[in-house]
Amino acid sequence: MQLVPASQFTIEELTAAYNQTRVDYIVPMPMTAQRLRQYVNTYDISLDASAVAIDGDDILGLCMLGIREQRAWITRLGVLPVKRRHGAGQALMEYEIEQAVRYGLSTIYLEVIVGNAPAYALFSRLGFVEERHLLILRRPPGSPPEAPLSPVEATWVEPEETLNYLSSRPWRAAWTNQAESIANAGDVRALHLVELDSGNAGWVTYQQTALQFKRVMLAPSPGSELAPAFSLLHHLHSSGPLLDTIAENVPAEAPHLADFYALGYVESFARIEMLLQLNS
Amino acid sequence: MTTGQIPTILIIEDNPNNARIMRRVLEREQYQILHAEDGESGIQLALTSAPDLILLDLGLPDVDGQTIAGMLKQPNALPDTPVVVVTAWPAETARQMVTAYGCEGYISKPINTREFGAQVTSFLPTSA
Repeated sequence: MQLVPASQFTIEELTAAYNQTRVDYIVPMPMTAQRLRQYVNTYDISLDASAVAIDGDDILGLCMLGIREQRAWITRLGVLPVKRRHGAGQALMEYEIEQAVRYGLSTIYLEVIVGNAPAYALFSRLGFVEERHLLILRRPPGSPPEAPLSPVEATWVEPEETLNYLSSRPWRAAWTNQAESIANAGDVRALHLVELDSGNAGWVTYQQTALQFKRVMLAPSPGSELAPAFSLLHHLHSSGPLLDTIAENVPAEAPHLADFYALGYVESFARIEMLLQLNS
Repeated sequence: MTTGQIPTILIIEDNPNNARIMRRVLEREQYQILHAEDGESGIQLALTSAPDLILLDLGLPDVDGQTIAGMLKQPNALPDTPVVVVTAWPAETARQMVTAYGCEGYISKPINTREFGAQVTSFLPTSA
């Protein structure tokens, strides 16, 4: 088995290989080549630092490394089902850790789906420790429930101003939700609300497609301990009642989680975020 | 669906092996089968062909199954057409998604080829 940089393959080859490694996954999440290309761009994936495991002309598996400043993110690790349990997964992970050291990085993050025991065991053996649980929430189309709402001052924010809000989050965002991801994704708007009765202020981001609200993230504004989460989500979903919604990597400890559920969100699955500190 | 008509089942599934197995079992049951291998073509085919039942994979490469179900169940789409999710997701999660998105039920992957035909038949509307 050899490990070679992913940059030696086309996006189409990487997509085909990735999809084959995930056919029996708990949550398969296959991709088109276009989506993988967007993924690489949005999440600052270095294809030079990412790796493909090969045996002759056959691809056995792959792993990708995102790099931002001193931080790294391991993602899309996968080995063909018939090639597992021969060390390819561990070899790919060790390669990526070496790459992170070579690049002078200080931390590596990754997420593993809850229930993926073999992957969790591998990451633990390599020194990754649990940081927190992250939830993937879905909301089917539908008008939000009738509810008394506090009077608010609402501002719909254009994409170029959305980034100004992201630095005020009182918790560390998961890689997919960091400011760099939002800047790279483009066309992510926001709604800012101030509840006139309570003074609570906050914002929710969203990216709107023909069928869906994506990149839904919510946080209080600076100086406000609580975000008016119910009002924010109610306003958002009133503006697009026919749209499906996904809120990805919501921290399980987020104070406004109950408001998501009250507005009709359900938990689709959960991830465990893990961290490896590097001595660089 | 009226008495005497052969029911049409639309399979929205990107994995060609899974689709082939489902098609083979259901054609033995004398159903007419349509197949879309991604979400967007699945939506188009559903709206243009008005099948009697839709078998829907959740993990599609372009538009995922939940989004498709949400779209098809809207009043101006196909709200009365049974949508049955075919998924390897854990049972409790599959049940939650089915309930949340108004689907009629789910069938677990990998499918049992001896039971699959009867499972699908149980979701078809009874003849008028």
